[in-house]
Amino acid sequence: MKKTIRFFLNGKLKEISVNGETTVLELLRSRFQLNGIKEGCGEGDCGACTVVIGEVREGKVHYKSVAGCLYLAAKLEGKHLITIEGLAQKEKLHPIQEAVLNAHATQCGFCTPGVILSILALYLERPNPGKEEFRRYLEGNLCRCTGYASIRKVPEYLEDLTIHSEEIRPSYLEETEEKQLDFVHEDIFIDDGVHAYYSPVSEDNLEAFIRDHEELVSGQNLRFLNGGSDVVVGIKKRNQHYRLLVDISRISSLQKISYRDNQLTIGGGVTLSEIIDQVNPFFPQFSDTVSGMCSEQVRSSATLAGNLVNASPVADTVPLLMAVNAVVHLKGCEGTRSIPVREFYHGYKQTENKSDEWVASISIPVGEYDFIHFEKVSKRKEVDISAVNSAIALQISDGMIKKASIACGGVGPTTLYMPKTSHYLEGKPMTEDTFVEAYDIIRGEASPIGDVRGSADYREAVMENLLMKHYLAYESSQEADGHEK
Amino acid sequence: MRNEQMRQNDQWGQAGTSPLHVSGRDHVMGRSQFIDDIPKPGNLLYVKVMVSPVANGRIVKLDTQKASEMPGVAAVLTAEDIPGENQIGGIIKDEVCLAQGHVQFVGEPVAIIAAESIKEAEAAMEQILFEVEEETPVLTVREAIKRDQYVGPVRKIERGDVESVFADCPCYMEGVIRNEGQEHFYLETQSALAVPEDNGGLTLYSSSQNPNEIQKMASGVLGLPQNMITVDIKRLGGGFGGKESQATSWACLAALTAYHTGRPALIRLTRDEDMLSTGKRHAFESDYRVAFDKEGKILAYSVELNSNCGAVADVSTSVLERAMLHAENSYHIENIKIIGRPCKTNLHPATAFRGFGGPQGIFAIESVIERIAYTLGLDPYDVRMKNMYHKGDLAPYGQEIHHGEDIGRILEKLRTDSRWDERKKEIAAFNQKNRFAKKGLGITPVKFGISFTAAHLNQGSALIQVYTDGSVSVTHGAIEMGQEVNTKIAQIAATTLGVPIGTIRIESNNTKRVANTSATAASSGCDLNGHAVENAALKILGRLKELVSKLYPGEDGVFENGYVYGVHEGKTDYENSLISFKELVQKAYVERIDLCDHGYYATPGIYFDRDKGEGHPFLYYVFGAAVTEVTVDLLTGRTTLDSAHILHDCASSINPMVDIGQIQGAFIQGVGWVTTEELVYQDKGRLLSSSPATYKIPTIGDIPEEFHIELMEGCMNELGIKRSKAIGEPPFIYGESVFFAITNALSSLGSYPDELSIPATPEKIWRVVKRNKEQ
Repeated sequence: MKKTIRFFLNGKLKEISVNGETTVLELLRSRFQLNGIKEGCGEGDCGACTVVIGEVREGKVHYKSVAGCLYLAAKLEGKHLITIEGLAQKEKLHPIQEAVLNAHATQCGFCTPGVILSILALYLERPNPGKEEFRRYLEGNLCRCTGYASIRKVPEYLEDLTIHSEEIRPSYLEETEEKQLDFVHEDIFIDDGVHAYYSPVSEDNLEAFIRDHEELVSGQNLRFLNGGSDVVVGIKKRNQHYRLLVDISRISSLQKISYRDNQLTIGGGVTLSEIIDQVNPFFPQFSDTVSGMCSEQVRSSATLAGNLVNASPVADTVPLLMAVNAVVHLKGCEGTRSIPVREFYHGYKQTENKSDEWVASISIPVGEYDFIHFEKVSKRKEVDISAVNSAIALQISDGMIKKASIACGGVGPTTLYMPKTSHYLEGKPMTEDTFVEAYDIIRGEASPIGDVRGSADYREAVMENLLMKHYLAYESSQEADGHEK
Repeated sequence: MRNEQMRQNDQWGQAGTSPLHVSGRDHVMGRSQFIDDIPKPGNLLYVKVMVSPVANGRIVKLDTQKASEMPGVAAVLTAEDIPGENQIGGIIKDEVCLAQGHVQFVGEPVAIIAAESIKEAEAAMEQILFEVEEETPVLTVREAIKRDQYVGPVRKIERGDVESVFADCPCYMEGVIRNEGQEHFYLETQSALAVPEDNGGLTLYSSSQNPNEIQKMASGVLGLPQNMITVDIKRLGGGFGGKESQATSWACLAALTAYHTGRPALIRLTRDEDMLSTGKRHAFESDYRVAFDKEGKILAYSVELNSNCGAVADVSTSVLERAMLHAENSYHIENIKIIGRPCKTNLHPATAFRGFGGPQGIFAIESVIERIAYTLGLDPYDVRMKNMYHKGDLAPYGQEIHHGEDIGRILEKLRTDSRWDERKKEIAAFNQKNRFAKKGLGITPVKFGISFTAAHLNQGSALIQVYTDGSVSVTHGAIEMGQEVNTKIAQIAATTLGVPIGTIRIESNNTKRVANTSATAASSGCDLNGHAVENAALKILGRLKELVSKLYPGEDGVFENGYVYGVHEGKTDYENSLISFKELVQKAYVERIDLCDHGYYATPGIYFDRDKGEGHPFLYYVFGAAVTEVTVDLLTGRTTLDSAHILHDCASSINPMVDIGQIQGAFIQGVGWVTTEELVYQDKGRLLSSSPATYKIPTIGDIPEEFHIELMEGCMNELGIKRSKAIGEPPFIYGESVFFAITNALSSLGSYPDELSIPATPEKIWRVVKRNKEQ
């Protein structure tokens, strides 16, 4: 096990000592005096700290945007960190920098490095991005000055520069990618006596470590993370520290997505971004659900497992997983066990998994339902935590609902599976009236409370109205398919 | 836009063209420095501020002994440690720098801890013993009015006789109009770095729009003369008014630390700390009465604009003034009575924010017009045109609306360009067919007065040095915060001196180079300081022209793009330049001709008697209008912005791309204010929505596909710098058209949503839908 972190920074190899709680933002500004990265909010919500990370996945180096205020510096092992300072070659601007300048897409300049790096991540991964992909990659970059119209035009200006896609790639990538592929990965363990960080390269190593370090993992001392997008906010803003952070993001056995026998299995280390791209062919509704969550800077490291385990009552992945009766597979030193998502939550922020168990995978049955839909309601469309969300799964034949399954978040201390409402719908005709009737039933299954995101009566009404939204979505899907009503 | 004359080498950055941002390269390279990027001095101290957790109360205990003994701590300071005056009120002296005796709002600074690291400062803060005997806070405008609690005098502007019209009129309405506040959300939070000098003086680097006020207040707090305090400001990571006066506390606290410890001190608020402590846009709750005829013509309008000012005056009296001066917006209302009450509450002190009361005053009359239109079943566009100003009309305070005919020209052109009438029909058809979603169309015309209403603030300064290699250094009194005042001023200097913009370097704003300047606010930064720069440049140019006459007798020198040309047969002879600017400058130096000068400008002819409510407060007005379309989801209350058409008057734009960028940014910020940006307070006065997780400003996904902006042709501004008009604030108000598009959509449910206030969040919209269902 090693204590130091070796990584590439703008093409150059670095070796550093950090503690387990240092973020990339802190590292760059305090240690390296690279001040292009800014702190705008310190909680991953503004994009001013966006940087690009190159990491090896499936034998190739992939690039992604991450929030520097959330990304732990210790995670840099074997990775390539690209900052704004790594783009221009002396005084020659990188094409994206030039395009932003020409498009007048910078005013006060504070958000600009983050914007440019988000665009870089986009173009490094997707050579010909469309408008929708551009929006998806930039939705996490807040700008208060430009109104975004000029930023939205940057691809046009990039095209005008008639550069080839090779010129988007910084010249040093050729060399660093080769070195990254040859990189030998070993476990990392950093401990200053107060806070420790452990990053294993395999589940076997993880198991052995837990067995050998009982004192670090007992009680509430241990927290698993992949992206850490809530754990790190807890550390930095809510004074929630752990004796040991275990980073599962380098365990490749947890990063698999497989589809077999109508079962979609998503590993505990699969990120939300990966789900959007790779799950779409099998379960497009789930892919859509995930694309409405957070921002690219967070999705690129956040996992489905994390969303489940973090147990927010408005977690956006949970309603759909409950509706289709997905199962969580936990693993620990004692072995594995499987829990249906519907039984995973015991109370506010209380989950079935013990603190020394990690999510090995989530298996999702596919193809059982004819119509599946998820809807979230939040104040702002992008990058906003839901006030209320709702998922429905229906088996319909001859205009009748054979099987129904509904789950809602934001209306209780956990996401709630709605057995009464689900049962009510079964055997009823697939008509608007059926869903209107169900309003009364669903109202009886939850007593929402009010908070900064919505008052109790609004949440209750939205919970009911989302039934109608589900029905209307069904109607338009039928129209789109050219079915008769 | 203008600049029809094509010249040789015409892209040298002269006024009327759109050269790139003068700091653009540095921005895209990430090397532009903000306060926290300035290389940190070796013995730097980090300062954390302990603030009041309660909104109102008497301080019974403030014991910093234990805290000051904590590791790494250099000083823990309270009001007792202020050597000068514990006072930072700008207009009204009612604001302490550190709380003394009592606290008046959650987030009010009480003590500061300076330590070797932020962690050590935070650890020490926890050791401060602080107890407050809580008193009930006053949080609303109504509560303040009941107690006669104001931060300044109640004001009035009146013309005609509203009461006699109300006594006998065809139609009458009264009601309440409400808008909540708004958080600035500049991306760079409040920060300041104080560096002591060897002579007892101090240099302050502050993220502030107002170096002069920082200098004055720091000098007062430390008991030092102003010439011992130097303030240097290169740029802000956004301001929007939030750093016009709200930056003062933090700069003074950093200065206080440097004074006591003799060491440099840095304060940088985290986002949460910033949002909790600093003031926001004024919330208003206004009562109106209106008399009108069946054609929609307003016969009399009486409005009581009540602003929620928070605990201290800050700039509230001026904000209220501007709200009152815009209460009639683009409409000629003969009988009008405007009352303004600046209410004192136990909230963070409401402050300047783009529009400065204008958006709120305008919102009231626009709401009234919509209600009139709905009541009479008339087209809201028609009602606006029926009431609009015409050439020669006078504002309620007596000023003639110069070029008032442009209001009608703009409204007519926009009506056609936005296809208002066809879209109305399309929307009506859509609403007929759709039960769960409704579309709406909104129009908001704007007439915005340009000048500080406090006449003495309308002054600008500049300093220009021309070096012997022909390169030029310009310092001016405005602060660059993204509005690209630096680019425009570089263009003005370049145009006046006749040199390419690349030879102009805009320096930081430094109180040693320009003194006694006004805040960069009121959209006036380029006007005032651009004139001052032109003034300085003309003085230098004058001397250089004299030299040209001496060197080339009989020649009139035309200075352009780095060369001096002669004029032959009435035409500038571009073929044969007389001399290059650089060579001329070298000769001037040898001839002992002064190549440097100071420039100054004071806006002529403006005045306002606030006791009488009469005067000529504005040099000119900016006009424009916006039409927007929305779709409202009745099941969730969510709004989608479908399209926006904006037609705006810049007269002769100095930099069209910059102006368009300003319109885009201001409009979207306005859209945020009226839709998703909701400040949520708990019932004891603490801000709950104190981070971007809960306070939602627009993202790139919120802007409409159809987003048209056009600069209106044919508008004039004879007295404007390079005949341009100010741009910063007026376009913000176009965002209100989105609110009226929403009310228009909701009106199709059967009643006008009187109860809807800004922001029209999904929940509030849902309540309107619910009310309609129940009726």
